Amino acid sequence: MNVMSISKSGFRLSAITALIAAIAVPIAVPIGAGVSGASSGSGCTLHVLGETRSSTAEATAWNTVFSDFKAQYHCTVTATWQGQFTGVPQLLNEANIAHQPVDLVTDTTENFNLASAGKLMDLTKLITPYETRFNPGTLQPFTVDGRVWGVPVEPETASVFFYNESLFNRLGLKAPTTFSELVHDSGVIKSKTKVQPFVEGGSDTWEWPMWYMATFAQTSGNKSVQNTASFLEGKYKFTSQASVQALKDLANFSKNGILSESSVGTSENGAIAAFLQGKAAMMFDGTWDLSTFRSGNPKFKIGVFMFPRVTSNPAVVAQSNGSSTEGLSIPSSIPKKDLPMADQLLEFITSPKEANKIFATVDPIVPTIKGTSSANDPLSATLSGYLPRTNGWLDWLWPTNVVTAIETAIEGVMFTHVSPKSAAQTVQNELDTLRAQQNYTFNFWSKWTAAQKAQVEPSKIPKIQVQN
Amino acid sequence: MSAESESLVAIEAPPRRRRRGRYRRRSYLFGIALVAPTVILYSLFVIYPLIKGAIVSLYNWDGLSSTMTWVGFKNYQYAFDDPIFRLALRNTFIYAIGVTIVKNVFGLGLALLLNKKLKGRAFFRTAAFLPVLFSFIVVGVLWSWIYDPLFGLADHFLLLFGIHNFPGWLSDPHLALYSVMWVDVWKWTGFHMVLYLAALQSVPSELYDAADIDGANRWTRFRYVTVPWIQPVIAFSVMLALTGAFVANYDVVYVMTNGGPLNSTQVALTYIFQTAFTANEVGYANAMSMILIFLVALVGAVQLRMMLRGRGKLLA
Repeated sequence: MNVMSISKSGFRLSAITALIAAIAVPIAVPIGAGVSGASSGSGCTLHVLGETRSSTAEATAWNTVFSDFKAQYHCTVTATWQGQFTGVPQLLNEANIAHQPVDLVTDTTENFNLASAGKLMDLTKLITPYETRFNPGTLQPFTVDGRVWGVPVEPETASVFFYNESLFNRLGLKAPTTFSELVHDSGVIKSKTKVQPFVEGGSDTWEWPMWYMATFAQTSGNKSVQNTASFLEGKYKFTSQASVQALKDLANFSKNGILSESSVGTSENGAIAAFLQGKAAMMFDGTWDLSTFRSGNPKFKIGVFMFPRVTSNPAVVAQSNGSSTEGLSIPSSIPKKDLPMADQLLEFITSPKEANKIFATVDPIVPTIKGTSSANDPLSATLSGYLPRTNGWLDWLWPTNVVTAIETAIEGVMFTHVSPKSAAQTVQNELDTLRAQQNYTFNFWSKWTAAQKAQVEPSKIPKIQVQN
Repeated sequence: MSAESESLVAIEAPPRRRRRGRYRRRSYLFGIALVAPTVILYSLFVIYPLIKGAIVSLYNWDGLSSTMTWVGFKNYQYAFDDPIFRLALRNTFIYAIGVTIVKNVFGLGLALLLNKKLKGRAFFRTAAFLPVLFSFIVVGVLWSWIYDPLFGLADHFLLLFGIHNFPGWLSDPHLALYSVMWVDVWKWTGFHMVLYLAALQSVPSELYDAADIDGANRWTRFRYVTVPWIQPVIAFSVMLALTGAFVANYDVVYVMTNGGPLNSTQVALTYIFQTAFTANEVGYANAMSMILIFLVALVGAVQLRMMLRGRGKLLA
């Protein structure tokens, strides 16, 4: 063998090696990632998927609950906490595509979208052994078209006005209960102090529908949930009197100098900072931010009051909106062999003893599960009193396009860029377009075929142990 | 030569034509082996999604369920009838053209300034380039706070000049888009400055000397000496700015306004993202993406043609 033939064979070999490596490497990397991500170990293992926990303490609490479950049922629970709640449907989709098992998934505003897409298991019969443990009304946000798709695993929250009670006391003001009292209080604050009467984190547009829900609750004669369901079924128009009046009432907030257009450029964090620094006397927010307010150590006493009455009808009461900040559901893609244990895990997490461990880390102003403790908080009693008058969030029912249209309509109406009637029309047009283009239907369950229902209904109801 | 040695020569030294053919084949294979990873990855992550996206655009699909419903070109018709998409496209063009012009004008102006012998020139060059290093997310959050009506520096700056009537930087629908565009300009001007600086330093000083002899003033020198010489760089910088502005505006708009208020800052990318991942209308979003790709390709092709034509004139 001479030098030429060695170099020829060497060249051929290196070319072939390079070609093999070039093809193998791009294929090997994703396979390797998949292999490393796959669950290992034999025996029972359940997989929970959800958004990032709000604190290390909460994550630790969940791990404690999972350890307790393993000790009792000899089944390991692994959790993937990732991203925000809005990203969970995509995470679930990606897990399905990658054939990664998911046995429980967190569920909030995407409940309707996931359920109507056939991604969630119908829990109606599965939770029958323990459904009485949930406080009245707390399953309603997770119920669509008469079927239950999730259960609450965090305390109830509600939309309320937070106010600087120390400033109010100093100025001789009381927490307003009507819109005219609110206008009066705002005027006094403006004339006697350099404090802004009100601040709103309007650039976080998801806050605007809370305003509409509060006024619509009153203008609809406290039938906002029923009217919303009728609207989505096509039986009720968004341009009808109650909806338009609700938007007109919102416009009055800026017309009377309570809210300024600068709110649209203020983020929720900016609004909270302004409130805590005493630069603004009031803000409309949710009880989920109460722990944020307290950790900001404001130099004043914080008070709360319900959204004021905007109607003169004495039969109508002011209402807030709210629900559990998080629910848990079983995905319809769950491996059939995992269903009994997943149902047991759901029961275990929502048992009062275990739920308390999680609730304690997320400021349980108003518990969703009977037998769990509420926070030792002076505001807790007041906020618990609002619970019977709290409706579920309407944006859990509205499809996303309609939510976006309502956010835009409210911004437009509040700062007089758009009239209430034409704003209402844009929302109605959005729903009409959705029905025409995307075949949207609200009461999907009653329109599903037997085969579609069979995919999300458990074929056999497992026998589970109910904790005390 | 003996018959044995003749056959050995025949084995050891094949004809020249065959040797050349084999060498070419081996070189070809080796070349294939070197480009294969890039081609495979490009096909997997660019070509395949593009084709798949075009196919999905012909269906109604929520991105969650396992079934898609055929609708043909209806999604494209909906896109052309959708007032928000038309507004988003309009805003995208305003954004792209506006920031391209301002970035290049400011970049060239800064380069001309910083090409002179100034005290602290290195510091100013670095300071102008620094924003380029930050991500759009960081820059977006920073400017959101600068524009904040309660805490922002922008309003405090206006107070220094006795202006109390603060504009709604991000809340006024007539102003918000320009406020966001300014952030893009602030971030990228330094990059274009560097391009122009390099170009300016390549202009032969003899040309300026000759212009001086001919009695040229500053403007004439700039117009007849500097600009023609750096024209290829101007074309390149404009092309970079334009194509980048069309497809790289998502981050800053999402962080600062997410398309609001009243869709006044909605650009094509944010609307497509919201349609796909918030409204779960993946088929429709793909149709809008295809329209955007076509428009950007058209703009790129027109610009390339103009560049080549300009280059031809220059060479002539």
